[in-house]
Amino acid sequence: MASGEWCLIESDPGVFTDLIHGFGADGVQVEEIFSLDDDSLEQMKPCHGLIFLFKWQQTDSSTANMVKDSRLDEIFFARQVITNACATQAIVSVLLNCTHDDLKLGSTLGEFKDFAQAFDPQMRGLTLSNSDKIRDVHNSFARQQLFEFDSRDEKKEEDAFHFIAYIPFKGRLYELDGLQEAPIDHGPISKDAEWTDTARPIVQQRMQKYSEGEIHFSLMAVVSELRRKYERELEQVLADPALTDDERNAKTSHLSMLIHEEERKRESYRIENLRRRHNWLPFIVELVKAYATHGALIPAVDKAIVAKEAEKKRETDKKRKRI
Amino acid sequence: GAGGAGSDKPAIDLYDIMSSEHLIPILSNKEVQETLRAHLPDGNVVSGSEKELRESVQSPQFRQAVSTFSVALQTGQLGPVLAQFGLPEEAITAANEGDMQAFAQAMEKHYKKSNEETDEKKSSDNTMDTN
Repeated sequence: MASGEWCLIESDPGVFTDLIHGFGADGVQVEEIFSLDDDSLEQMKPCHGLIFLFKWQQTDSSTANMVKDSRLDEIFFARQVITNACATQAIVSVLLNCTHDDLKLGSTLGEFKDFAQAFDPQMRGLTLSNSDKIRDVHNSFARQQLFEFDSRDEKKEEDAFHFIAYIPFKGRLYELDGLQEAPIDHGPISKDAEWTDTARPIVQQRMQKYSEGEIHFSLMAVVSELRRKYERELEQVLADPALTDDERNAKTSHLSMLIHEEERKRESYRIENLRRRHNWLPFIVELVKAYATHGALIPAVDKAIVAKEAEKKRETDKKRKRI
Repeated sequence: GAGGAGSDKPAIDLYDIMSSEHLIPILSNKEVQETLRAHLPDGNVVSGSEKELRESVQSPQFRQAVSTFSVALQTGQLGPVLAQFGLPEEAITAANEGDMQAFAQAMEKHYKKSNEETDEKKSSDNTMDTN
């Protein structure tokens, strides 16, 4: 049904951030979250959505609290019709439901939303997977293939990843899971707290469950562009007459450091994406030649084989012990 | 039992080699640096320094590529590709057979510099430095 190929892309904040910019959206970025404590969440403010990623497996998902009423027309929820598109799907789900001033959706996503909003979740999913523009951007983040070949050993990395988004929408917390039939309503968001405080126990429960099941997962946040946030704060500090010179200097230098860090991050994303798209084959061949020239190739290969055999033996021993 | 499986040659990842103790001296060689630099991504960065090469080699993106290369080499799929790079016949044959050790031997036989050659090179380098 869905036309065209969607490549598997890496779950990485740099890839996701550049993916958003590639769609033509602006004003937001993606940060990886390592802890759900107050400090970590405070730094992510304003946060527009959480994306939970994990290795997919059949689970006994509950169908309780599924949205079945007219909210289905308001919330942009699309069903996931192809696996590899899920990163884009999760990001698009967050962006299309975000009404924050910081986000500029851009024409590609704006037009897509206008076009697909009237459809049901299944049709929205199909429309997304058939969008040439969105697919082309998504695929531009695929790893460069050295050449076409049958990668038996790569199977372990081709595991299907699944993404779930948590978003605030009109005062309630929703879970958008493209493998479900509808959004899941997690109830009202407390009025005098951040929405992430309401999401925290729910996400934590999920993390707990996956940790126990040794399922690899990670958590990302779609947040307002941090650099602009710090620049705004810097302007406020400079214009604040209530501050003493020392206070102002301290705050200014702290914010300058944060801005500098964001610039460094942006540059490293750029380089990582260049590396991701690069054809490394000629480089590798030259490096192997250099090893041979220096007489380092044979000893290195021998050493690696010995190490590998030792590892294999350890594993066999382990298996024997179990039997 | 599952006979046969144990006799398979264990697959090695060339990346383990490339991050070994040999890498630093090889990457500090000016000639190697120049050759490798030409094959870095376009628009990569500033200077094309030794540090940049080292960072590239240590990047997960490079690691991924080397792992793919290793699997392809040991499953005999890399021969035709390597032939395009003008590697010696013997190395291509080893690659076609997926034999990493034979490949390494063929490569060294063809490319390894004799000791005198390296010594000569070193002394001429030194003279240049002192001038």
